[in-house]
Amino acid sequence: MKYFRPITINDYFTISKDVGQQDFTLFAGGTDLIPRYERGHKLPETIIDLKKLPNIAGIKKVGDNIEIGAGTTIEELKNKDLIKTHFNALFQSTTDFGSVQIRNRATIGGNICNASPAGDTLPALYAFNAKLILRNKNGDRTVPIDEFILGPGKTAIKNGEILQAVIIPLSNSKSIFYKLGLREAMAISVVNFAIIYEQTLLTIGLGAVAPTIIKLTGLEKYNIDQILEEVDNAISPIDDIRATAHYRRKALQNMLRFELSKIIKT
Amino acid sequence: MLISKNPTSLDIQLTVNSQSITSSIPTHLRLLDFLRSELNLTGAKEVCAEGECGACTVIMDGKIVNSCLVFAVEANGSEITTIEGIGKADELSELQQAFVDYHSVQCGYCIPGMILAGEQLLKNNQNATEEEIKQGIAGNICRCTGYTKIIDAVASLTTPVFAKATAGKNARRHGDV
Repeated sequence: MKYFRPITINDYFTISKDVGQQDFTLFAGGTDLIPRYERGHKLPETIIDLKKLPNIAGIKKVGDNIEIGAGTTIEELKNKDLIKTHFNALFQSTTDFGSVQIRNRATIGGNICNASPAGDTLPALYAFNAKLILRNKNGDRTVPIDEFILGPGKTAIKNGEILQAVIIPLSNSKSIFYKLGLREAMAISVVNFAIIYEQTLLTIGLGAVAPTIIKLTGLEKYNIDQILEEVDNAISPIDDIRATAHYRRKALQNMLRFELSKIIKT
Repeated sequence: MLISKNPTSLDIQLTVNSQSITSSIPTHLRLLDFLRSELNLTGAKEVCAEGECGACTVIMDGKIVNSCLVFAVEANGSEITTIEGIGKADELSELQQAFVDYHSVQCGYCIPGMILAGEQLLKNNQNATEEEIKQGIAGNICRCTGYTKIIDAVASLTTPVFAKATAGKNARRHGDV
């Protein structure tokens, strides 16, 4: 395995050009990748470690948006008041995320680029209309997250590009995140969802019940039965080692009803 | 820029328990293997090898990490503290002494990781509540103690008010049995 750790963006462009079409992996926290190799997956020929790139980490307000560097760790996200104040669902998704040890390494960019259907930060990022800044040699392009993630483990990232940052429009809407795992700590979600709610309408991001996150928007907050029907029609869960499709469908209905009832009462 | 000219090995320089170390290592070597095999620091253990159990916990640049989930080459330029850097047999850290006093250790396999997680928790939050202590050690699995005595030991070094409250509560719990 060749290991590269570029410290300038131009270093990165040079390396990615040299690597070309070889088998290579962009690498950040490693908390998803290294266990994969442990389980017998072949190591890639080349790893490009992005953690030391300039301005790759950090959270700041830029105009009407919050900009989160792709290399920002989940623990940094969890401890930032700006996130808790404006994006409660995203904040909550970080609190049940792995352990301190995992959160100290895992990054938001890694969670996005792994494109796991169960990725815990994803339902909130979809619901809050997050956009991604992708940087290549010729400049930047901005892509909405739902156009970036194409399927399990598949994204629209191109050779020679990196995910630089996540942009989320500042929000004062209330929101919650719910995660059902097989135990409280360290579990991969069986179902997870984020709900953003206004006076009468709400937006829901649903995870682990389809190849990518399902986002439903403009739902009428007080019509829970109709919301649940729309959700049930939109999802396509599968059986896997954590749960059956039937269980996911049922659990999602129950947990959504529970959380929506709480929202209506507040 | 850190580049392996030879595809399979790389020179790294890092600080482990305040000692500067230079070594030439295979790029795929995990930090855990480097510490155990190259430096003979066997306090960090391998159990699950996927970041679930915390037995391999070390402190890297001031933060606890699972050393089974870090390539040793990633630690180039970093400062690492293992359990061997926390205390000595005749010179225990406060938390290690608390683990002795509260009988928090049974088989002992998880304890290096527990101590490091506890040390970091106390450093970041001297007023940690019982819930916060549980969150702080959620990445460390113990199959012997049921956690109660581990939590008591950590709690004994938080603010006096909470330590007392916890001790009282657990005394009642033990009395019920």
